[in-house]
Amino acid sequence: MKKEILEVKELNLEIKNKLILENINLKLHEKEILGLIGVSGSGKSMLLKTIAGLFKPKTGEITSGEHNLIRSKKFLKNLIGFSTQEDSIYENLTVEENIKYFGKLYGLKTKTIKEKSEELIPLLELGEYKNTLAKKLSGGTIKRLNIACSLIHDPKILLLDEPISGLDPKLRENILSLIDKIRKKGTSVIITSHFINEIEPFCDRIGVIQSGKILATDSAILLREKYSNTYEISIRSYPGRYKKIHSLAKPNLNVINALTKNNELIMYVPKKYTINTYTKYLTKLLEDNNEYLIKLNVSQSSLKEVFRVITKNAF
Amino acid sequence: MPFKVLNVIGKNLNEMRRSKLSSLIIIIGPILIILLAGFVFSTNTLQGVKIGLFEDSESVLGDNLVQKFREKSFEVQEFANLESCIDSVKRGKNHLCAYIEETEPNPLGKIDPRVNNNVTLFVDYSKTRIAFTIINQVHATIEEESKETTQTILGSLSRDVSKAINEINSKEDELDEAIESVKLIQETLDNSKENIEAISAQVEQLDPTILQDINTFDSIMLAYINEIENEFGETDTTQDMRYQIEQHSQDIAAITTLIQLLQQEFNSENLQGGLATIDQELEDLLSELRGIKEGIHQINRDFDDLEGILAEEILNPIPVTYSSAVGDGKGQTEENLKFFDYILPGLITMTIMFASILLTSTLTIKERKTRAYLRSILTPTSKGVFTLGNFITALIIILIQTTILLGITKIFFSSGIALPFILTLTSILLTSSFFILTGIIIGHIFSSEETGVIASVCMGIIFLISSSMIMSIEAMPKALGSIIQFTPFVLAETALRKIAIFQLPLVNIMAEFLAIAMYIVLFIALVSILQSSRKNKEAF
Repeated sequence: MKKEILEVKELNLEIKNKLILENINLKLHEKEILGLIGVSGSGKSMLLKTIAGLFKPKTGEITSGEHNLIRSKKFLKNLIGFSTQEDSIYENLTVEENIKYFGKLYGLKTKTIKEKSEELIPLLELGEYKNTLAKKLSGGTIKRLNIACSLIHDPKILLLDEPISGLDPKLRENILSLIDKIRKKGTSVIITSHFINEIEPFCDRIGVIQSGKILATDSAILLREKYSNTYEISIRSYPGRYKKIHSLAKPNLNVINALTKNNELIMYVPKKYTINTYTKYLTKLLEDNNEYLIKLNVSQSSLKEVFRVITKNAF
Repeated sequence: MPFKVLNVIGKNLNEMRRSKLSSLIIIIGPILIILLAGFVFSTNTLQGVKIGLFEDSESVLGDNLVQKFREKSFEVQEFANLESCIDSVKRGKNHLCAYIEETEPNPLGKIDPRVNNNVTLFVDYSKTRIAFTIINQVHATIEEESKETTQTILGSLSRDVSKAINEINSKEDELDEAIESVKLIQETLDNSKENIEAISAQVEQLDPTILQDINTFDSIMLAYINEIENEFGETDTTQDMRYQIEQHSQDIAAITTLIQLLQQEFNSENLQGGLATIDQELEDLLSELRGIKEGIHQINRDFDDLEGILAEEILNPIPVTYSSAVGDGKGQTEENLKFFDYILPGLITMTIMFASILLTSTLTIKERKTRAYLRSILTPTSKGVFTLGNFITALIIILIQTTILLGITKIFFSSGIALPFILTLTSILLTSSFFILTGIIIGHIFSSEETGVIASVCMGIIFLISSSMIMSIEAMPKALGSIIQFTPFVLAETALRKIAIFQLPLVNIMAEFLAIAMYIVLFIALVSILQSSRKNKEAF
């Protein structure tokens, strides 16, 4: 069992008499990536900012071991690295100057900053941009620099607020791989994102947040088991008379929902039979109807579907 | 903490260095201000003044004024009627309309035709500062013409009087002859009282025509005295001349009466009995004639005196000499200083004020608004470090700007000001510190750069208006003036003026320094309050 590095207990945040976060309970373990998913305005960023000490909660506790982080500001600031959704860097400073500047604000010695920069710059693939002004960097590189600046003081916890928003799929993949590397080096990470499916493979646990409340926190597998009672079937066939296939399959498989996407038929069915049973039935159905099978996949529902179920059931 | 402050300063300077526009404004700004001010104030003459002119009828005065205006490089446009002349001022085509109005000729018109005119100036007072400068310039030109006219009139009068004096002097012999005649009668009367008939004949002939000439002379002199007194008022000399002329009248009347009496005496039958009286009357006649001679001499002397002092005393009755109060301590002399040097302390204070307020308010707002600031406040660094860093950054820039500014004044405008290093530096540091803190406060109050800049400019203008840079404090209401003299801008400008112009020692500037220091302490407290009251608004 991994050691807990951060615990949020019964946290309530009120701003201008409005309850922003309600009864938040959260744990973060060493070398763990915790993903927080939720729609815009659900309270993800506010939770990270409260953990980072930017807002003082009305009630509740944030602790790390024996330290109360609400009171021990200095300990908190050294414990946590926060990469905000917006790029928190100086545009007219180079990559190296930005890293050094924030290093000095953390009170690090020049030698330590140099050593840490030499470690972070290759880790975040910033080597070739070392002397480039931040304003001349691409979106992905700026995100990497943002993360580098958050790591300069070697924090135990890294808070990443929407680190892959505004990036293309390739860059998103790249950033998430880097975050994984950071975790492997020993830093625990809390990451918020609305790219649910993309962060899933990198997260040890996922928390679902809505209207300032955490509705569920668990591994993706357990979340699926707990909250999903459907399978997702995707079919690609030729000539692809998906309407007919759907109408034939619907009464026998009790199809809950169906849609076509990217020239595929996607159907949601209850977990009434085994995956194998569904596969055999559909293969035969396609054959009987002269549909040449290109792809057939029966799987657990996506995390997006789980999220939909959890948030739909929330009150 | 000192390392963190240095870090912030380094970051600020790096950012500014890389922002070409900022660097340009920092360096070019003061250069432009000082070059412009230098060129404006190194000369005190007006350029491109346009004057409209309308005359009721062509006059020598009009011609002369046009010539004089053109000599001063004023553009003169003559109009056919007064309305269009005034209209040209309203439409901004001309700065002023000069209307030469023909008046009824006065007696002196015979002497110089230029004086038959009144000049009215129509001015656009809405062009506040320039209006009065133009009025002064045009008025000076008209005054010059007026002075020349007066001199011409006086010259004509002098010439007439000189002529009269010469004539009367040439007839002095006649007066002497009359005196000699009277003396002869007396002698004859004493020596040969029996030869009465001969004496009677002599008395009959006693009728000096010079008395009429003296009358004419007196009337010319009286006209001259009247003109002088009309123009310049009474003087001791004119009073004396007037007295002498009055005496002449009395003397002439007495002489005429005496001669008539004598003639009557000689014609009377009882001549022998009246001889003693005749003797006395002859004595009186002699005395009157001598009096008249002496009177003419006195008028002559008075006229010479008057001519001598006319140019000096009457045309300029109270000669005023302007001399600078600048001492000659440490090589600073009045001769070293130019007009530009006298406005330099105000100009430096103004530049420091605007640069400090604008730079720091922008720097503070920019820092607060930048996304990176959120990361900065997440570090174990107090907000005071960032404020102090911005403060010192601004101070460094202001010192660079002031050095450039002073360098330009020395190199391009050969300023004669010798600045004592320590006092000047102290003054600049205190002044900059106050205005930088003002900028920080503005930066904390306002959220956007645009509103911050507007607020900074407004603040600068308020400081400027409430100083003697635009209008003199002495011209303001007493209560307001007594408050305004303690405003930081006025204090700073006064301190720098005392140091730069008068080279006064620290003890004389201590009051201003202490007052500015008190303002600084007050503003530091205000900055701390504002900073702590803001909390983490940047986090939203």
